Amino acid sequence: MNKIRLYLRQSWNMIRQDKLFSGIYIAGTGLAIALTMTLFIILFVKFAPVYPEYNRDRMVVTSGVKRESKDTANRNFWIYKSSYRLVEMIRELPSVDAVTGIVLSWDNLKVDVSAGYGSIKATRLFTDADYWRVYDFMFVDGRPYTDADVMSETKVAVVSQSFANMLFLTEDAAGRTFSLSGDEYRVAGVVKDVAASLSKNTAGDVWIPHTLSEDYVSANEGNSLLGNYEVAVTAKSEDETDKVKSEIKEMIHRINAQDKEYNTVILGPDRYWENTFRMSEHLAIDEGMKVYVFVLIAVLVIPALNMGGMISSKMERRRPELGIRKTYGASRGQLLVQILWENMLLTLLGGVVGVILSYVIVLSANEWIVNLLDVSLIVKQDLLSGNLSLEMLFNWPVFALTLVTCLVLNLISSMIPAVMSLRHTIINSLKSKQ
Amino acid sequence: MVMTLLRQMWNRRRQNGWIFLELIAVGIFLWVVLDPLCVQIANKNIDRGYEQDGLYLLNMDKYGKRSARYSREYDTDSIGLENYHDIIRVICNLPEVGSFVVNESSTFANSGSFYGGNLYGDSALTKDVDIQCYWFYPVGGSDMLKTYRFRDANTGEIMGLSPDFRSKNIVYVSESVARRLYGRTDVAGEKCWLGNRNCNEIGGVFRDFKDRDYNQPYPMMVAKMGSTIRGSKTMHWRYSIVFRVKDGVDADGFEHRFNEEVKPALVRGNYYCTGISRLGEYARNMAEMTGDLNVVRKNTIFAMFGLCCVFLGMVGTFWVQVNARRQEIGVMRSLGASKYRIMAQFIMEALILVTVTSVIAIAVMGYYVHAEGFFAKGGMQSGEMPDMQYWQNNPLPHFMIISLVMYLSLLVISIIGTCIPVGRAIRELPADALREE
Repeated sequence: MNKIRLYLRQSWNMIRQDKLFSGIYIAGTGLAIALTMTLFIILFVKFAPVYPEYNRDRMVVTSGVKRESKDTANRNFWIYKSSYRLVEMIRELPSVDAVTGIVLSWDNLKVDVSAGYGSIKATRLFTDADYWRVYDFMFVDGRPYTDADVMSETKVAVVSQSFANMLFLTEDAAGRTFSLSGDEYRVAGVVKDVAASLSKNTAGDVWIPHTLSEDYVSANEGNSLLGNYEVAVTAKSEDETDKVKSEIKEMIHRINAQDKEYNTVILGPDRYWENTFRMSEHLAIDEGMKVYVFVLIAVLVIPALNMGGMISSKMERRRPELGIRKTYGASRGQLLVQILWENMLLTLLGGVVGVILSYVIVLSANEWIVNLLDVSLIVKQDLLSGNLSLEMLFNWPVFALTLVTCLVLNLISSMIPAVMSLRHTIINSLKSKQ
Repeated sequence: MVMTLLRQMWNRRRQNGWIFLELIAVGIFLWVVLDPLCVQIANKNIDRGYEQDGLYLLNMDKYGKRSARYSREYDTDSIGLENYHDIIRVICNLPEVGSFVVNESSTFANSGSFYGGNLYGDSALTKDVDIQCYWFYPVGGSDMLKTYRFRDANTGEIMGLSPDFRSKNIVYVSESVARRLYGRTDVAGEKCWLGNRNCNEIGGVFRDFKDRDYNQPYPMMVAKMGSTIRGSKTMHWRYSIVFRVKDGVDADGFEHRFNEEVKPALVRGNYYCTGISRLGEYARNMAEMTGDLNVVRKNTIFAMFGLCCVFLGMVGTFWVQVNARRQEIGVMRSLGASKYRIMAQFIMEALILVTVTSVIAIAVMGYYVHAEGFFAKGGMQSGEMPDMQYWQNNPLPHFMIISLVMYLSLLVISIIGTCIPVGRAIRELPADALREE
């Protein structure tokens, strides 16, 4: 422990002596850490269980439905979202815990909402009652609408905290009424704000029963699986997620066996994380993964080469010192550990700079940073509640990954030059100054 | 001098090896990110072919059957048609509105839809051209050319519909269509065939037109729909109304007045107005949704990152080298070398380093592009015949330009990164530099 303290003190003195070198090294590390941490924040928002999508680990989602004619000579096909009939069919599968259908009506997502205190533009989602089981919203007032509300087409709504505060000047808004596209709605419940950076299925200001949507077609009225619904399914447990996927595929297989004219293909079904990498309905998952891997390699390797060069030059200057240490009995291993510890202090300082810089990047570009690596945005959200939550920005997994990155960067950049420098004999090292 | 420098650099290969590897890595990385970025910027800078400022899209919606405001009585095709005509009348009679057009289902700039077709020339010798069609309804004074301010490809004047437009089958084509069908742009009066079925007369040729801001112009045709607008249940999305305010109208003032006075009153039967969108804003949203803006942002960030790394790498490397060569600098200064002479030597070293590494990076990328193609995708080029007047569609100029941009970016950053430490070192007096000697 004393040795480590000595190494760190020595390193601190060297930082003070060689300010330009240290400054460049810290800036280089900071740059790499800033981009890596920004990437980790993006990945965290997209993959980790965050409010209200705490069930992501046992969630299966579909990207749409493709219907194609079986006649190979005259092949026609259509690609849409799903119909609510598909939701109802999935609900019957044995491994499914809950399934929900969501209508985004992307071309008219923002609607005029007004109450006694004025009017605002809000993002509206149409959902069924099971939506509140698939997603884990926190109600600060009231309760979600029920299946009975949905089926009876009652004009009720769940609204976000920000929506309630803006429209009613209070969060205790359950029971109040407001006007949406000319219709009077009663607030059934108020939920904690959702960050706009979340998936399109949960980012909203106001949620209303899907039976009030013009896109709703009851099971009695039509049997097509093409429609306007996003579908999200939760399995009973994480282990059963793949079972849900295969049950959905089997179900579609049975439908296709009975249909003489058309084949139906479900785009997906994917686990939640797989769907995040599916950058568009037509692209394979590994296409999306390639982008992240390319970026991660680039932000680690380029600065590592940069710092490796600087450490190498520094090692050249310190060769006589290392020669003297060897003369007095220090082993290569001991010297290597010393160099790594000394370098660690610089890397950690760079890490602190990088973390601060990453927050500057994320907060100044909060409107688009989470979707930076996406090929296209299906819906551009712009919620009353803002784009990022504290939970997304300050969390241990991201900090832990950043710390690991610092260690990896330190190892990559200092190990090779240090080993190369320590290969010299004592005589060579001592003579290098001449 | 170059040979001496090369020998010196070879002797210091261990010190230069890291920056050499970094420059190659950054060179390849920069090439990958600059390719889509440069192509996006080049596409964006192509003239739109119309004036976006002053154009608005009217946003309409309809009370559905589940709405309390829905009226079954008004939900007939004939009343719907009457109501829609009334809405058009309100818009074209607004004192601020100069011109308007009623487009067929989303065939307007940045709509996100694509209405394609094939246009044939009036000769068996010419090949047909894949075109994008903008259809509009000549109701009232609806005029697509005037509203968008299409410009004549031959005279540069703002175009308008021909007087006999309503009575004849007249179409207007972009200059790329005219060139591909007839090899020239003065083709007004010539015949063309749409889908090899309907014979049309070309009323005029307009400058190439971009449907989306980040796309290249696509061969285009503007024509009136064969029938007039018809009553239906979905008129609010079937017929898009785009209008232009008169020159000199204050946009903010107009929008405020529209939202406060016009919008609340613009309810006809089950149809109601939800507001207006500036076409520029609409185009930006489209670029956001299609990911075009993301490509620009992402690749700019990565290019900046790569260049920052090179900058820091060059400053660090040359700082260490300059420190190690203080005596050498001192001797050179004592023998009469000027500061600029010494600076030039170090800059020359940086130049050689960047040039050699860039050549390697460009060779690697050349091999990759030859095997896999460019990184810039899309751009809405005509699949059969990309327009070769744009460098981004010519493989060789495309490769050369991206390589040149990559090389120059690296060179400029590297020279700046070299000048900072060298500049500090050569300010030292020769006696101080030689003291250790």
